[in-house]
Amino acid sequence: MTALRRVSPFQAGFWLLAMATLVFLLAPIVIVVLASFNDNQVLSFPVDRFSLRWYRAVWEDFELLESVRVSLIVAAIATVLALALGIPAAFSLARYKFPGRDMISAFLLSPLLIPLIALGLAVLLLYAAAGLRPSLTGFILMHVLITVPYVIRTVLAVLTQLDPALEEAALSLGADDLRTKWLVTMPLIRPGIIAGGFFAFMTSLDNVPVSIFLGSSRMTTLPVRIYGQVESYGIDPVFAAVSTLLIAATLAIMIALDRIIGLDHLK
Amino acid sequence: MSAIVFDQVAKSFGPVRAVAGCSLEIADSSFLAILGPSGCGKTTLLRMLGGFLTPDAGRILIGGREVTHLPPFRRNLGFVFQSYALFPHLTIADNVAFGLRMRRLGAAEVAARVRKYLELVRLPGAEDRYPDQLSGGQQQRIALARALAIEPDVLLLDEPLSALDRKLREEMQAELKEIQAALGVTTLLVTHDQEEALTMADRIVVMSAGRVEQVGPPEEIYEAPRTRFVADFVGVSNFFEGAVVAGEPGLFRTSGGTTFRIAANGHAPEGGLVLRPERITVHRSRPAATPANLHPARIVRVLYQGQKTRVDLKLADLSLTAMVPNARRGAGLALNDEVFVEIDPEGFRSLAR
Repeated sequence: MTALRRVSPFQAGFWLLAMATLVFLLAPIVIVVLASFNDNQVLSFPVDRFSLRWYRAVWEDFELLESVRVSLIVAAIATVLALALGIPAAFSLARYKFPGRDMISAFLLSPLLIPLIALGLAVLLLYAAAGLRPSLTGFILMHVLITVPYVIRTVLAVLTQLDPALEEAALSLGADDLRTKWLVTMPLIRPGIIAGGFFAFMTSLDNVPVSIFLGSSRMTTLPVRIYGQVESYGIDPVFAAVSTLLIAATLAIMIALDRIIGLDHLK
Repeated sequence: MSAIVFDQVAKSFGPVRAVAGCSLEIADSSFLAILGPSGCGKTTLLRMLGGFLTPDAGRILIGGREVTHLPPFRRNLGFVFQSYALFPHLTIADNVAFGLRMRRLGAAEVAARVRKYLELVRLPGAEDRYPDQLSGGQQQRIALARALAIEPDVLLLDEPLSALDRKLREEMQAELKEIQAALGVTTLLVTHDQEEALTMADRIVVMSAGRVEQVGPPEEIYEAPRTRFVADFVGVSNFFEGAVVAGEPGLFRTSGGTTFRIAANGHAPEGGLVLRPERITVHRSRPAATPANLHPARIVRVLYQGQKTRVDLKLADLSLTAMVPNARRGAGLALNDEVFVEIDPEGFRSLAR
């Protein structure tokens, strides 16, 4: 008889709790993924008959594809701009002591704290008061506003952990400020930049509260469209297919990031 | 290889005066250690020389050229940091080559220098490894190789050995000293470790509260400290308050009334006398010949320290510390022993007020 490893009740309980949490987190995702392959006319689970018809439906739904396009463009541009603003901002906050630094830091991170629905409404009112019309530029700028805190936070975290002697070493070896930043600082904070960019991109892609206020019929992002459709026509299995595609894309990006920088850095 | 001059250099951080009008000259090819407790301004001085801080006042010259306001990358200095500061994303070869590439040397020259300096620090073959694959001592050597590879005018060492364990630290001290002497590069070491300063440097600057207390070769700093601070900071000291007996310059009376014969060494002891503990000889019984200073005393503490035994004594109202070499089996002294203390008159040094 093989000796059973002794497991204390505490360990068993802990293991059960971990499993339950995992199931709780993963079950909805698994169900959506499985349901997207169901041939049924309404979104249902378990799967009766395997079919790719909803994926074909995604492909043929022009409006849906258009909203995916809008979402990706907005998220991509917003991410680039958030990085362009967030990295220098993180540098200033990490390196220089200036009056009002803590206030500015709090201000830059505040979009994380303010309810986004309030922010969206506020900007909509601002637009109305200023007589501005909804535009792609304004839309993207709002997405920059809500994504830049993620960049600042992650880059700030790696910057403050960086030994200042590393940059000083580069300077003493003859590298000027620019080359020091480029050859030493940037490579060392890259994990933070990539993580911040990833968070920014996902935040923008996922955002509803701001996008719903600032969008228009010609500028609808994917999550806003899904909300609208679900509200009007009920849960169409085509959304399960879109969601599955999004999950697959996210997973692919995460795996790629893990290969490049290690997921441990994505904190 | 160049002489360094600090001319009335001062630096404050807000209300804190880190360096107060400090003047120093460091001879070409010499090895100077700045020794002092933390907060004495030694690191500030080093960082001003390195170009990471700008002095509020004064000038800094390297080889006759004023560098006071020059950025670090124009100074041609080799800096070894306490944390080593090796670039973790670069291989050892790329770390050592970093400064050479900044100087736009050709690939062949870079490769040759990398090889040369890795051999110098006895780590040939480490080229393709990364810093985190090396031990602390090895990283230290690479940091040294990287700083030396640019063939700097001055080598700056900021507490370079403090992260190493004792045995390795002693080995590195000897090795660093040899490398420095072989290359003849002017070297400035900042340390709070007196042994490090005494072992490695040709000259020592003792600093306290932003000021230079004393400058001199290691023997002079240890044997002839000029101020109470230096005597206290470097090694163990016995202090005597009192005055020279009027009309008898070779006789010193402590404030408690005990008298000692002292060698007349120039100036009057305004700040009292200092005596190094190894200048005290402890006799278990009254010696046959009567030396200049012989006093009865009682042992109040015995601390065995390997090579020597530290013996704390009560001599009248004075508390003294003696270091007794441990020949064969310990010093043969025990607590509460009544002994005779002999003091070499030449051992007393006058302190400035």
